[in-house]
Amino acid sequence: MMKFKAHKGQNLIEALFALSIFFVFVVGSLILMFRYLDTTLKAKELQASNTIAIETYEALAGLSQNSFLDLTPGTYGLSKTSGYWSLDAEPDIIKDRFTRTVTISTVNRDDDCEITETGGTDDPDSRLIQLSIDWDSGGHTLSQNFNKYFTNYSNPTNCIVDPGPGGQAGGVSLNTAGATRNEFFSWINLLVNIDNVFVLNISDEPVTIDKVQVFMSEPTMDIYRFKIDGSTRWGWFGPGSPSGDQPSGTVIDIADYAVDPDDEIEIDMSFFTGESGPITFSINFIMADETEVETDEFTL
Amino acid sequence: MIEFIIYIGLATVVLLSSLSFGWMILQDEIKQNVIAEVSYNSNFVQNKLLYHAKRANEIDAETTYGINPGVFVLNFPNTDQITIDTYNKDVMLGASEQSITKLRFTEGSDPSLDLTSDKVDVTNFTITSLALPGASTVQIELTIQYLNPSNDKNYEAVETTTISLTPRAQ
Repeated sequence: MMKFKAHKGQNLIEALFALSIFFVFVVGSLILMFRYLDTTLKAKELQASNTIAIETYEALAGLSQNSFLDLTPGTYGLSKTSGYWSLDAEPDIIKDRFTRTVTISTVNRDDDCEITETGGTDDPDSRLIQLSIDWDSGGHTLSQNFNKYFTNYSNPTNCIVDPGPGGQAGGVSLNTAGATRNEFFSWINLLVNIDNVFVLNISDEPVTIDKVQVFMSEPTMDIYRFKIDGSTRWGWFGPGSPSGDQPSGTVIDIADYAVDPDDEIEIDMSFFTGESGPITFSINFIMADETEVETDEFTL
Repeated sequence: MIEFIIYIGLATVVLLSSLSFGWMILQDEIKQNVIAEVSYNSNFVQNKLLYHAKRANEIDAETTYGINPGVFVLNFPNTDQITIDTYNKDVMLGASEQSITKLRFTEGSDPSLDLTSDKVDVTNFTITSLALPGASTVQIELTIQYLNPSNDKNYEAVETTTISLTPRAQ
C-alpha cells in the first residue's frame, strides 16, 4: 500500500505561482489595450490633420482662382478673419493644437514645359504649395507634410496653354451633316470624292492635325488623296506617308495643318472603289498632342 | 483552515479581476463601435461634399448661409443640380421612438438618398460663405453625434468637422 506524505504549504506555492502567471497575463493584456487605445488616438489625430490639409488646399484653391498672383512665394499661415480665406504672415494654430505652415515655392519648367527640379525657368503659372501640420501628442511633436502643385490653368501666361477638355482634340467640333459624294468612272475604276466635312476649332488656342484615319465600310475601297481647304495634305504620290493608296483604317501622316481658334476648315477626300452603292465613312483626327477625335459615322 | 481562506481569497481576486477585465473589454468594444460609426458617417459626408463641390461650376443661390440646418445646392455644367440638406426621421431605439436629423442627397428630380445612418444624429450643418470676387468658397461645419437618449457614457460619441469647399469648373 502506498503512503502519501503531506507537503505543507506546497499547494499555496503552486497557487501563488498560478496567480503570478495570471497577473502577468492581465498586465500584458492591459498594456496591449492601452497601446491599442494610443494607436486609435493617434489615428484620430492623423485624421484631423488630413481634414485640415483638405481644408487648407480648398482655401488655397479659392485664393488661386480669385487671383493666382496672390500665391506669392513665401511662408504663411491662413486666416479667415476678414470673412474669406487669406494668407497670414505667420503660421496659424487650429483648435489650440495644430500648427499650420504653408510654404509657397516657385516651379521651374524645361523647354518642353515639363516641371523640372534642376534647371529650367521659373514658371509664373505654377506654384508648389507645401503644407506642414505639427501638433503635440503626449509630449512628442508629430508632423504631417503635404505637397501639391497649383497651376494657373484659367489664365496662363507662360508655356501652359488651355487645350480644353481632352487636349487639342477636345477643342474641335466636327461636322459631317453637309458631306457630299461625287463619283465618276475613270479608265481604272470608280472614283469617289467626299467633300464638305468641316472641322471647327472651338478652343482658345491653335490646334494642329497631325495624322488622320479614314474608315470606309467598303473593303475594296482605298483612299488616295486627303485635302484640307483645297490643299492636298496627303496623296498616294505624296506629300505625307505612307505612299500608295491605302485601305480603311490606315494611319495617314498628313502634312501638319494648324487650325486657329474659331477657324473652320473643309476636308475633301478621294477614293478608288469597285462598288457604287452607299458607303459608311468616319474620320479619326489625331492631333499634335496625340489626342484623338472621330466623326460620327456618315453614309453617302 | 488559513490556507483554505487564502485560496478562497485568491480565487475571488482572480475571478473579480477576470470579470472586471472582460467587462472593460466589452465596454471598450461598444465605445469603439460607437466612435467608428460617427467617424464613418462624418468621413462619408465630407468625401461626398468634396467630390461634388470640385466638379460643380457654381454654388446655387438657393444655398442657405449661417443657418442650422442649412441647405447646400450645387450647379453643374452638364448634369443635374445637387442638393444636400437635412430632414427629420423617427427611428425606434429599443422600445422608444426618437426623432433624428439626417443628411440627404438629391440629384435633380431623382429620389433623395440618405447620407447618414439611423444610428447618428446630425446636430449641426451650417454653411458659411467665404467667397472672394473670383471664387465661391464656402465653409461647412458638420457635427454628427451618436444617438444616445439615455446619456450613457459608453454611447457618447460626437465629431465636429469643418471643411472648406471651392467649386472648380468656372
